Amino acid sequence: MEEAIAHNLQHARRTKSVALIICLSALCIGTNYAMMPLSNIKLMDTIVFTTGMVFGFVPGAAVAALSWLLYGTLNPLGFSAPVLGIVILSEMIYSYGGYIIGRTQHGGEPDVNGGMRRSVVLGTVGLFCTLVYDLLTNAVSGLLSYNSVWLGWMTMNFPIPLGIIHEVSNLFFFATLAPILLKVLRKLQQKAKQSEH
Amino acid sequence: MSKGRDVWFTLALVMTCTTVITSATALYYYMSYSASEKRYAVTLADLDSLTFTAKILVKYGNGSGVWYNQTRIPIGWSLLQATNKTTGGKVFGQRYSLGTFVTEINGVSGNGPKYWITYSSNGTRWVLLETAPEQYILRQGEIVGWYLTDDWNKTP
Repeated sequence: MEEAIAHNLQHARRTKSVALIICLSALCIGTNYAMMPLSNIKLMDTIVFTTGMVFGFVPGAAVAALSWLLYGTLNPLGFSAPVLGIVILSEMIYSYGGYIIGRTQHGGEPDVNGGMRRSVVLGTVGLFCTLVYDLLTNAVSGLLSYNSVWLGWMTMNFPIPLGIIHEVSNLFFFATLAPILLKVLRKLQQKAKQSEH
Repeated sequence: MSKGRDVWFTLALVMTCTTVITSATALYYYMSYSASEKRYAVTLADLDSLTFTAKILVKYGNGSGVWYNQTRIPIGWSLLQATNKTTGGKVFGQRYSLGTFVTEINGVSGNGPKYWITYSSNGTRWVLLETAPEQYILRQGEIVGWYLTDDWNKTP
């Protein structure tokens, strides 16, 4: 009897995880399409990061993979399987970054005066995750398009400074939206835990 | 973490972000500048194949004068056209069957006893031009001059 209850509980947890991953992926995809006219400005990175921070690396990586699989395939800008592969893997950097930050002192709820500091920390982590993401994806697309990593990096910010736009927008989103999203996701997590008892 | 260390930590992060963003922006502007410089050189080379540059001196006879260096003109333009263009249309004259007689340049008239006389230079010596200014076709890099004088033996 106890075994059956434990099994059901585990099953319920898994179902909740899958539902959460699908909901957050839908949010990523929806915002990606909505923000299509704003080149390289996306909320997806912030969502993946906060998912990794609250629920761990695997759910965050799953949100990243699922979102990119759909958005990268049904994309008005075109489809490229090798590029899709590398953006899925690179997007997981955000989940890993979130997972790591979630395990430090900045992962918990900040005290009264700690909100500003946490925003700065999240913004900085967002900036560096984005920098690594841009360097990785541009290196691979440079190799595929020009057979040169350097040319890939050169085109990262030239002729249009897409890299800078991506990094600055993520710095802003991580510093301002990530704390709000963290609160929402933590509440969801708490509610899910309460319903188990 | 103490409050003092807290402030420094936050400040350090802000500075790090600023450094990364400004470095990337500086790189972007450097690349834009390099590309613009290349485009300028290519455009100038294209322009050189379609135009000439000439140096034009306008000397007023009282010792003062003005040099119009690197005046860019279409191939086949005359001295009169080039001077009119470079002075901004401040060349006036009268047309005769033999050619145009220039009576005023840059507001300075030459209707006697001093007249506007044209010269060409090889870089060391001025030579009087014995052709009407609209019939004298300029060549690449040519140095020409207008001199307001009453003595044709004088040179600018």
